[in-house]
Amino acid sequence: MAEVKLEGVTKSFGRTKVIEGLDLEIADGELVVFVGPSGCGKSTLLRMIAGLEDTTAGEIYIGGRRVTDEAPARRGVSMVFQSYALYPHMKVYKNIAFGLTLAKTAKETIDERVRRIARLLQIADLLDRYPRELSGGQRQRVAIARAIVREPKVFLFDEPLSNLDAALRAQTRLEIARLHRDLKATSIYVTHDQVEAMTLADRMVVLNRGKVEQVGPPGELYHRPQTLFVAGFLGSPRMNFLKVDVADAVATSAAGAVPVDVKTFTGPATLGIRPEDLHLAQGGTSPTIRGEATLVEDLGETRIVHVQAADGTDLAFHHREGEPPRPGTTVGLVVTSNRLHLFDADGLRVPNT
Amino acid sequence: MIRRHLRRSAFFVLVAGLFAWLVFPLYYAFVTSLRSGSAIFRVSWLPDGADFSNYVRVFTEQPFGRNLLNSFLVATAVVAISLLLGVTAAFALGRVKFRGRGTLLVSILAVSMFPQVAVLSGLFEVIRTLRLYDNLIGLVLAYTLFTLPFTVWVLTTFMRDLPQEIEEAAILDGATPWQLVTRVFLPLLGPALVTTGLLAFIVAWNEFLFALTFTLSDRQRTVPVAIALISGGSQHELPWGNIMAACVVVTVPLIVLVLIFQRRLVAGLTAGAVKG
Repeated sequence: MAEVKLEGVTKSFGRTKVIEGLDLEIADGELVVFVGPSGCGKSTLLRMIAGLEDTTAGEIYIGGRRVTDEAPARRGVSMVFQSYALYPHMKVYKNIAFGLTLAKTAKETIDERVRRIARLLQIADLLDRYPRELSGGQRQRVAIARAIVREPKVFLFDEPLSNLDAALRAQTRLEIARLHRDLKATSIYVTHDQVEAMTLADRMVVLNRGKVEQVGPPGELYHRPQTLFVAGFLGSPRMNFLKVDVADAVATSAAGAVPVDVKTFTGPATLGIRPEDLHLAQGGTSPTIRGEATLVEDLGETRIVHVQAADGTDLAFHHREGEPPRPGTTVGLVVTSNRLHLFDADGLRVPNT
Repeated sequence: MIRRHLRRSAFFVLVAGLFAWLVFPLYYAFVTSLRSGSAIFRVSWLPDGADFSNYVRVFTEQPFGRNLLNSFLVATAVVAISLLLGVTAAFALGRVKFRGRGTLLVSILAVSMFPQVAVLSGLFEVIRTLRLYDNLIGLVLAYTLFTLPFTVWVLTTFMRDLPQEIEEAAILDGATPWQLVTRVFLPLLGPALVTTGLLAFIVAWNEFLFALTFTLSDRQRTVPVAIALISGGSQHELPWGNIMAACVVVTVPLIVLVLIFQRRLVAGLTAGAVKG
């Protein structure tokens, strides 16, 4: 059993607090992804769990054991680095075996484990090569093999795919997902790529300025973001935000009036609408938001239409069938009313009532 | 077409001129060492006959073999100590953050700025207090003081350029600082070690002033001093033949060393560009 527990974990460099009083529990066998914009502290947090950064305050537990002051190697974690960080002077075999060699594991055990894991990652025929003779994808597999071979309690991935090209990234992402399904090891994965985060995570942790914005399964974070930050961070194109005034279950702005599912809330708020929940008003339906089309991006499977709403806000929506509006023309838009997001002046979600 | 030929041949002439300029002294020493008697004083640029009697006399008239061995022992010890201390110091200075690191680096560099003569008398006192006068260990100590600053500086530069993530990977793999240095950094520093080691060897091999001051007996002398003290039959006779022969003999080991490590030496000059 290797659950990870963070209690009031804080990191400061001098006076700047990078991570502030963070609590988090990760269950055994879970794959948790830390996402957030650069500088949000996600890598620092990962390195603190690895033991590569000191913890200024708070406690870290791995598998029920307090490891806050333990040396990295004694925490039972292994890490896959962004730049692979293979030992350039060792062949693949020795790279994978290095940790076991240092731990004075018996030669036969090392050999058996290295070969088994090389087969698992389909690098068995590369064992006699040097890292410089491998492609980026192969190097990343070796790095993963090196992490696995020590049979750690927790795997840490620090943006492992960001050095790969797009096609290889998608493929390796699938492999990591498959590997996690097979090994069932507790994993923490840091990325700034939300597609990686959404597809890999059992649960996602969205970090912003060293604080947890929201924790939950990807679907929940996407469909029910608890803060304005999470709502804006997930999804591409990003969620449309309209400044509105809410009264009597109607959100009103200069661009139009949208009925919302909130009976008790009144006052200024931000209305969030996903691009897929915004449509052209067609036929008899009366538009709720008006604006002027500014740009159409054709992505093949869909078009993204950009609109400047009557109050000056830029909106975007998906348009799949029929003729898209021509830039410069006035458009009327309707929303899927049961999938709206309302945030109060502090950026917190207003619950439906 | 003609212009290109012209430029190429101009370049060739330049290289040839440079080569001649650099090699001529050695060549002339070699030619002279093969002559004997009054033939030495006749200016002629081409070798005339091969008379190896000078070489025989160098080794028979004084303990020149012993001197060579001394030089070799001293230079090897200096290289070994410089590299050991240099690598460990470079690890601390290049990879560990601590207060005063920059100051320390600058003061190490400052040490190497004192001219040898300035520290000679002070060092002499040190050597005498340590009872190392007329002892090879005294020379090793003195030379190490002068080879360490540049060894530390060059190795620190290389050490600092090694990727941080490799170090972290090794730490996660359970490497102690010593294992990190010996099993991960040292192999990666190979070219830098060869470069600095060779430079330290040459410094120790060629050093004259300290060797002259800190040794007294023939049997403790190193080669440069031994050559300077080669004397002829009378006070007014300088046995140029013997001296030239000795010079050729001392130069050969250096040439051999450079040839052996030539490839790694070139690698050392470009090593920073290759990323793990």
